[in-house]
Amino acid sequence: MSYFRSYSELFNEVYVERAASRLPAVERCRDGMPGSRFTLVEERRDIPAEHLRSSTLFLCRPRGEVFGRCPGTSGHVCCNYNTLDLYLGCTLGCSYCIMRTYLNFAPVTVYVDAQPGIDAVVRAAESNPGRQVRVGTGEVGDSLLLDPLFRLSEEFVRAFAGIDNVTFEMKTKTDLVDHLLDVDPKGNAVIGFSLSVPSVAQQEDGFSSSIDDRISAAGRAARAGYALAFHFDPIIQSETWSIEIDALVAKLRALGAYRVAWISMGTVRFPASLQESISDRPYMYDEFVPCRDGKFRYLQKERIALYRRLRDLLRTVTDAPVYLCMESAAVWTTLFDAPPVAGPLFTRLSGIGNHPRLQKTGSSS
Amino acid sequence: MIVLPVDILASGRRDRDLFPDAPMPDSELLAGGYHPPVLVRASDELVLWGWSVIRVAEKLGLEELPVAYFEGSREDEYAIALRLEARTDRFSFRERELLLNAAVADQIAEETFERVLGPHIVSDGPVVSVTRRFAALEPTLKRVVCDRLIDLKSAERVAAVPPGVVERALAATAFRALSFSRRRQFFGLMAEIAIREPERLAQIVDAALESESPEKYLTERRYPRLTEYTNRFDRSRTQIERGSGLRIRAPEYFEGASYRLEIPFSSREELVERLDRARKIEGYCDELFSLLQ
Repeated sequence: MSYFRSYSELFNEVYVERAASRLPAVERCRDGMPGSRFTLVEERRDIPAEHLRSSTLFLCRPRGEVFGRCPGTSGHVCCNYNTLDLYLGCTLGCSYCIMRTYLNFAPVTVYVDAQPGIDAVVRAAESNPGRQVRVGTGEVGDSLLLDPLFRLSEEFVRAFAGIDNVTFEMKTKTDLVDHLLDVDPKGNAVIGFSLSVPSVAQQEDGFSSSIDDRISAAGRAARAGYALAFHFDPIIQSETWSIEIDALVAKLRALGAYRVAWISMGTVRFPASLQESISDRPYMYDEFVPCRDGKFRYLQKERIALYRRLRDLLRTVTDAPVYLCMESAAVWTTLFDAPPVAGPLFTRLSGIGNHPRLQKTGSSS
Repeated sequence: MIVLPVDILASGRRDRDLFPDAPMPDSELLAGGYHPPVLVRASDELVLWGWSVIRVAEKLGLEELPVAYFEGSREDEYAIALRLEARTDRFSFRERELLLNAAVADQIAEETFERVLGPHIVSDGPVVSVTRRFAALEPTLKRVVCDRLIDLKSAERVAAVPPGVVERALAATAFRALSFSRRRQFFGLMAEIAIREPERLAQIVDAALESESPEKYLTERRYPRLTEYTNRFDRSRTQIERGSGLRIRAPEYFEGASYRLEIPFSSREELVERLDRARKIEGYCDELFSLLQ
């Protein structure tokens, strides 16, 4: 990582819930942030108002249900992904991030006790024998940005390694994988990398790692035995997109042989509430239309053209499942002939409610 | 009752007139001596409130005006002047800027201004930050915001548009004839086109102002692909519907998988005839579905 030398640079204040203060992950955080001020509090509301910001870190035990179904978005096809809350909030600062609309004035929160999440996923796996539980920690925060500090992901990887029907994904825009390479066994663990064409990543992905660094990290993860996932999301079209995407997929091809669990594609989309805060971004001035979920997207025909181009390129590299994130049935059907209702990866699990945190906000990105 | 000669009052510091857009006092009340007195700082006789009263008194040829002396902290001076003005939510942006600049020059902190004086200026929302936004506008845009031709947000949106283009739009009869919401739409579109096609902006705005519906023209320029799809669909629709009694509808914004066809009929013969017509739509299918896929 090139944009910060230590986690102490990212966070000015660390608040620790008293009930969580003796957990190993908190100790690891103290070790990793020497010189930082740690303040014990009984609960979140004890954090002073002036510290309710993303440069504050709040460490606590999980609140409520940490495992649930990704809420998807209304009127669009759901890929039946499940989410696990671990890192809530993010300091990467991507311009298009939906979390900017509701997490800006909140500390980055870390659920420093992995056990409730592990227990919930194990229960879901046991009650859905024969069905694949796809679960990831990258829904409301980057899975790996803070992970070298807390080393919580490896607890999940180890816990799920012996369970055939759990596929655990850590989704990231960083290259911070090295602390996970020696974890053994890895089971079905997947490290997912969000990818954009480099010019877009450079302009819009905030402090994320460069695309080359992410691909290089993907290579290290693959060689260590992890399955990979790639998320081409958000796809932001530009004059150079077509040329750059060729080059990007060529780099994935050059990685050599590796397992790809899945690949997702999604064009840039935003709710009206985000419109003002991204009004300085050039891509905002492309043509967007309101869709059934109230979010703005490129014209359907333009989206299909982008997906078609990328799908065809990806087919030259891998036969891994490719799916669309938060897209309409019309687009799915045009591109894949049918929505993925019957595929093993996309089977809806029984006994799993919608993600409680995001349900409150009504949508996700 | 203390009175001072009007000419003495009028010779005071005019730069302290913080309420240039105040409504004129009632002449009869003023001539009859029933108007609140002019507020004057005791130590140096600076007029703290009542310039509108002095102006009318001069016009009426009154020789003297009742005054009330006041001595207090600077923020108290502003607070009492605002209370005498009694125009919460009705101060112009120009007055707000004058007030804020004068208060800052008088060493009143912005936080104090917001907390103590803000509630006399607006009943809800921040004063300082909004006033600063107004203060940052170009003079032309300040004027049109004050004239309520456009709102502050719309004015800010066109900050990147060359002033000459904005001024041409503002001066155009076609623009001034638009309703407030249509002017806002016009400004929003103009700002976005300025980013998309900066080199052609002036030409586009001129053409819009000469068109029948300026904001519709700008919308078409802002959304060229959507406009193209709409025009292509309209051409097919016209052909399909002409004399057939059929109605065909595209999904909104061409977002969806299917078109809707309406076949109204009132007799067996009409149904047969219109179904026959409907079959001919097949010839348009390639064109219609190319708009969705």
